[in-house]
Amino acid sequence: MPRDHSPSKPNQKSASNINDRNSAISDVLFFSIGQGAIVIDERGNISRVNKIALDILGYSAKELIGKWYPDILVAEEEDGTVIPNIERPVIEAFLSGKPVFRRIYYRRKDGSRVPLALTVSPVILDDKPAGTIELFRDITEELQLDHAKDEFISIASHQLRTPATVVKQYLGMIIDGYVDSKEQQIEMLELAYEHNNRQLDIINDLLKVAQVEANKVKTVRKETDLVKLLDKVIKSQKPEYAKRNMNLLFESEERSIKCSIDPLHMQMVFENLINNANKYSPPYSTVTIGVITSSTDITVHVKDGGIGLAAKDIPKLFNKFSRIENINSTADGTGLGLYWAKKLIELHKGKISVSSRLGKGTTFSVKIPWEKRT
Amino acid sequence: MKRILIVEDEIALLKVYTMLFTTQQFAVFEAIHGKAALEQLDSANPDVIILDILMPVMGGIEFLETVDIKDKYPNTKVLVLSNLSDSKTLERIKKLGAHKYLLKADTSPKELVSAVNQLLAGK
Repeated sequence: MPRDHSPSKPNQKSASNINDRNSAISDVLFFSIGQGAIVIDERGNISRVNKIALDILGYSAKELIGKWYPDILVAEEEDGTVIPNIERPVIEAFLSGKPVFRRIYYRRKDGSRVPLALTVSPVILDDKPAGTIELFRDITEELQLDHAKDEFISIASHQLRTPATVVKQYLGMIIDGYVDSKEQQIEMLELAYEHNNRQLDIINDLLKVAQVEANKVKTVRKETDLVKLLDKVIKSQKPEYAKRNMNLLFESEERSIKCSIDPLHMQMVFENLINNANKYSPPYSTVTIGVITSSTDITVHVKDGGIGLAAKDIPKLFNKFSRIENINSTADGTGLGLYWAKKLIELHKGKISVSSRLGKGTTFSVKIPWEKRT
Repeated sequence: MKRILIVEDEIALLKVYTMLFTTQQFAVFEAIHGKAALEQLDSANPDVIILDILMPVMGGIEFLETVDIKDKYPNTKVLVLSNLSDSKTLERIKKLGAHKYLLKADTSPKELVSAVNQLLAGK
């Protein structure tokens, strides 16, 4: 019996099953997209929207579905100019039949602006445009990071150029023959040398910051006597304090506090804080280091009787290159010390805080939870 | 004797520029920020001002905004000497009446002297 090679007649039930299946897959695909997604039909009405889009825009599905797209979602340029409907990516993709990629700003329901990286793809059915699918993600954090990076590069280059310029000028004076006496030449070479060291300090601090930001800095905890460690730091700083006739006092309730910390890192933290207290305090004033323990943590205070900080400046303190202008223009430093100290404290799961009043002095408090008390 | 006012917050640079122009027989006046420069503008009556931009208390741009150099001190030339080199800053200082701009890190003592002499010669 010859075989029947004619195509089997379509079975309505199985066709409907395939349609249901495709529709279910398309639903899953649509709602699994890791970006905001909005489907706009050929009349410009919103027909579908996923949860991420709703979260970004602050609307409910009910408020968007069925609405004429340009009416409800206002698109803007970076400078706040409203993009005319005819220039909107949705229209461009619909008319050109090609995907459009663009950065735009949408107004959320609450009126705030959100920057988005947007891709709009046309939906083509039977060679005719049948609508568009718009995918977008919130790029607020990326823009903030970009801005922070630009600012960092700009300040870092300024910070590095200043000592480099000093070295150039002092050496230039000798090379160009403006200084005859040997004593003056030596003085200039010494100043150039000193500023070259400053350049190296900045470079080293920048490298440390780069390492900590790339998570390359690891703490190596060891059982350490914190009282001994503070004593060592205080002793090493006393000569600098003596130069300005300042007192450096140490108050501890306990003679020995054994804890598990990275001694090298914590030494750097306290050196930085005690050194800052010296730089930003007037001569003949007193700086007090205090250590207090509780059942949960250890707190070290560095209290100075210095010029203090304005409340508005306190949040900026731990930023990179955050030397507060006007305080003391003669204080040297790279502006990275407190940023670095904060990162090291955070690696110990600790916190650093500041209380200060202009003219009354500043207290830095480093609080570190007990890792292990032996 | 020509008179020069140097406005610079980096003490090491202020010192070296002062030394440089002293060797060139200038009467040198120093200011560590724009406000200090304003205070001695009348008494110094400089032929040239060397002006930094980024300074505490009052920066170079604020200084130029505060005093209309071209109008009030028509015989004084302003040379902006800064490590800032972005186009926005350069445009602003030009608009505010600065006569010349030099990038600090690129300028040797010899070049600085030559630039000041050119300004004084009206070039």
